[in-house]
Amino acid sequence: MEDYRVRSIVKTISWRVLATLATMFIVFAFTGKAKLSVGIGLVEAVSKMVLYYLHERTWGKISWGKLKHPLADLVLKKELTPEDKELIQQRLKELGYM
Amino acid sequence: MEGKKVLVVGIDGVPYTLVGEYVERGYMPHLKAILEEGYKLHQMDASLPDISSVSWTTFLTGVNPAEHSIYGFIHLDRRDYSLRFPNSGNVMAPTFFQILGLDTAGKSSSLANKYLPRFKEPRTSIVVNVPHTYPAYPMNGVLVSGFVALDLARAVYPPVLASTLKRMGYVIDVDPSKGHRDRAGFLEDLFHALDKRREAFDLFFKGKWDLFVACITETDRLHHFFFDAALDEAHPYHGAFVDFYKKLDDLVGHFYDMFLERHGGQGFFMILSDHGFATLRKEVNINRFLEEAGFLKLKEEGERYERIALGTKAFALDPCRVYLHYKDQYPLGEVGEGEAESHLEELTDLFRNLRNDDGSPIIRAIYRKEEIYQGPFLDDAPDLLCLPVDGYDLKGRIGAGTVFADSVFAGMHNQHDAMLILPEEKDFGDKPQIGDLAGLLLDHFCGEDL
Repeated sequence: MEDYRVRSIVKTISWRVLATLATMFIVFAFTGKAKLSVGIGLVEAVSKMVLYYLHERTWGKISWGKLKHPLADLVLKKELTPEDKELIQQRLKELGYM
Repeated sequence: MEGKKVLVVGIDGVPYTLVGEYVERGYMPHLKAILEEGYKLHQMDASLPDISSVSWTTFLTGVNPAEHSIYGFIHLDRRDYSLRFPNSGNVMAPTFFQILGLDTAGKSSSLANKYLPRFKEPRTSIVVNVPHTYPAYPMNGVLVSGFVALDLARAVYPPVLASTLKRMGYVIDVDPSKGHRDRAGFLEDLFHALDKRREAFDLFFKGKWDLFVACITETDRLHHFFFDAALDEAHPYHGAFVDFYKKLDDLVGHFYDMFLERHGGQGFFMILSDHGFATLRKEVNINRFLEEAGFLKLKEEGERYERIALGTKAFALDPCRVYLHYKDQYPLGEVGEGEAESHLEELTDLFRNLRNDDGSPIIRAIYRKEEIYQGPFLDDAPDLLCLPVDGYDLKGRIGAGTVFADSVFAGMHNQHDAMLILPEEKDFGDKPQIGDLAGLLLDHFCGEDL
């Protein structure tokens, strides 16, 4: 089953917060420059958030590799088929209702 | 929403008189204890006619067949005399659980108009194995369809629960053909099906719900094949019959205890059957009777009602729904509006004089449709409806050789001996009717949302 959009959006934000903090920490560790690490972090946060969301929604539409419930595609049919009618007649006869 | 709760146990075809007798004999100790705790056993009238699909639909919708449109397991297509098999999709009035869920799927009824404005919050229902709810349809809760459910995949809403039921070996229904060829095996199947029914009820009972309707249909199957064993201690299956009722009693007691433990004073508990049962003496082929009286003419060719020929003035659908063959409604019809009254009078006289070999009457009541039905689907109603004396099972079979025939079945439905167990303070005054109960259940929830 595909996720709702809001779930994808919340996942995008939570991952981005985590990943951007990691990026800023790494840049700061290598350069010692706080301004640069925050700048890279902000640019990265916005651009990758958009990319992540699009990537997530695209994968959501691909059923390959997904665990699928055996009854996920079941359609509730209101109309009885000719075979159903035969079976019903048979049952009713066996119980003396016909 | 935490609040009032209702548990309904339906036991298909269990007669008031038999329950009274079995409680008296000590076969149903749990039921006896329930009755001693402030409940009363009532004799109740089933729907007209007393067919499970009609009676359960009348119970669920709280309106008569002219409002819900179900008059039997089979309907006749007036355009070509073919048979139709109404299903849940043909029920034209909302059920009380749809009203409680505040989603009537666009349907309305006098009951819905009365109660819908009184509820603000949707309530959750679990409805298991009630006949004539197949195919299952979206509702606020869980619906597992009963007879005539054909496959589990279409018998369960939400559909995802079908796999759970399949894994636990849930039985939609026993195979009734086995009752004709292997009686001992059929009995075993009934006991097994009751076990599975109980497992399913237990499973859903743990969930969140406001209304729970649990229906047991194995009793009806037992009665069709073994009702003559109910009180006859010399019958080879009497012991098994009583054992089945003891098992049923145990199930009822189990649910009552769980309900009491979980919901105590907030709960409203009810047990009902959809019709009574009687020992079958003879089948009475109503269409053969109409043929002999000159009302029905049959062609040689064709299947069932397609054999109706020119010259036919009336015919019957099971069990004794008698329709005039109006010329403006049927391709071969020839009864004009002006003749209807005289035909109905003649038919009424004929049925009154239908007698057994010893001269005793076969028909105990004859109704005209306007007397018993009111609603938008009155046109589909039979012009006359006859009820038999217990022992004579009226049949709409086409092409039977004789009016009276022996039956392969041991039991037959009756209309006057359904049963109902309610808290003592719910007093109906007169004999309760199955159609009264939906209002009673909805009343229980009224006042909570103010």
